[in-house]
Amino acid sequence: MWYLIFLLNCLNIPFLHALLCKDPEVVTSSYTTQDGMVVAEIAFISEFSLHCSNKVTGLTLYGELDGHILPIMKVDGKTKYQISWTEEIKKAHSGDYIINIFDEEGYSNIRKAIRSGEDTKSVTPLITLTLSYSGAYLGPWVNSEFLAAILLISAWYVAFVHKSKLLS
Amino acid sequence: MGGQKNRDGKDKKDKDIGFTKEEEILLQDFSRNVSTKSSALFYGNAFIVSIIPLWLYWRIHMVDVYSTLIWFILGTAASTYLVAFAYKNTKFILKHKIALKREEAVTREVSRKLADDKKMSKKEKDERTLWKKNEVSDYEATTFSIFYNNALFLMIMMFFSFYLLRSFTPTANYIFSIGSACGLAALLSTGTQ
Repeated sequence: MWYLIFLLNCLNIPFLHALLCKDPEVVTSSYTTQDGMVVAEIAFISEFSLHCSNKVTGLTLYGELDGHILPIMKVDGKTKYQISWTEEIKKAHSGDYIINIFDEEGYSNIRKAIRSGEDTKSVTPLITLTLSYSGAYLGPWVNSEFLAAILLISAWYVAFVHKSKLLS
Repeated sequence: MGGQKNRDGKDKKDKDIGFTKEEEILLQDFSRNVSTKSSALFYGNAFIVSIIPLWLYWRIHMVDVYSTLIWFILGTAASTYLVAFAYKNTKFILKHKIALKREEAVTREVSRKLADDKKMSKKEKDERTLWKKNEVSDYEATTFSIFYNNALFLMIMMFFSFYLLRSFTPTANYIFSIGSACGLAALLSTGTQ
């Protein structure tokens, strides 16, 4: 039996390596909604390529963000993955979003930790992604029509005060 | 120059109906009628201020110009007439008050200018002072009336257009906004205060 396993290992049969990714290296690119004027929620998308030193590909991965589990899609079925979610504009904060990425073993551990109310930080992720969100444009601080109204009211007020002085 | 010519022309009429120059100037001072020049100035300004909202509806409210053209023409015509009416009324109310306020300064200035002219009689000097006072108050009342009514018209227009009638269709918004703005400007100008 052990000989058989050794033999399959030497032949690099994927199912034996599927659970483990050694020395993961990751390259990420991300997108967040920039214009928040016409949308109700902000979209966060992070696409990353995962390269393992033992050439493992097509891993099933899961993400964890602030205690919530997020699914990760395989983009090309090999090394590219994508994680995305949306948040209400009011709840989305600018700054860094730290996403912990787990393999299947890590996923079962983090599920267990969440279920039992333990600290999720105790589970070591496979990799950690950082997604920077600089905030979306929600329109000018002062609406142009409001500004125009204020200017016109001011002009009329000056005229009214002057007229009152002339008529007094 | 034009004013002097005008005065000379009217002097002839004065002789026919028996008014002195002083009386004629006083009558002109208290008259509600405005000269052709003033009238042209009022209607010109009223037209300009009435067409300003068209840009707002065309570019901001995205009104289809061709289908709303008739309303634009009617609205601009009515607004031009009513705003010019408001100019005239406001000018009439302000002119006397301004004349009273500027009387002292005008008298002082005219007296200083004519102090060296020994040939001129006192009556002539008084006439000159009265004429100058009329001119100063007329000019100030005209310009201030235009400024005041423009500010009032545009403020009401803006408030109705962007706030009070914002849920209306752009065409209805235009009709009611411009109608209210010029109507209120005309109505408020008929008050004495």
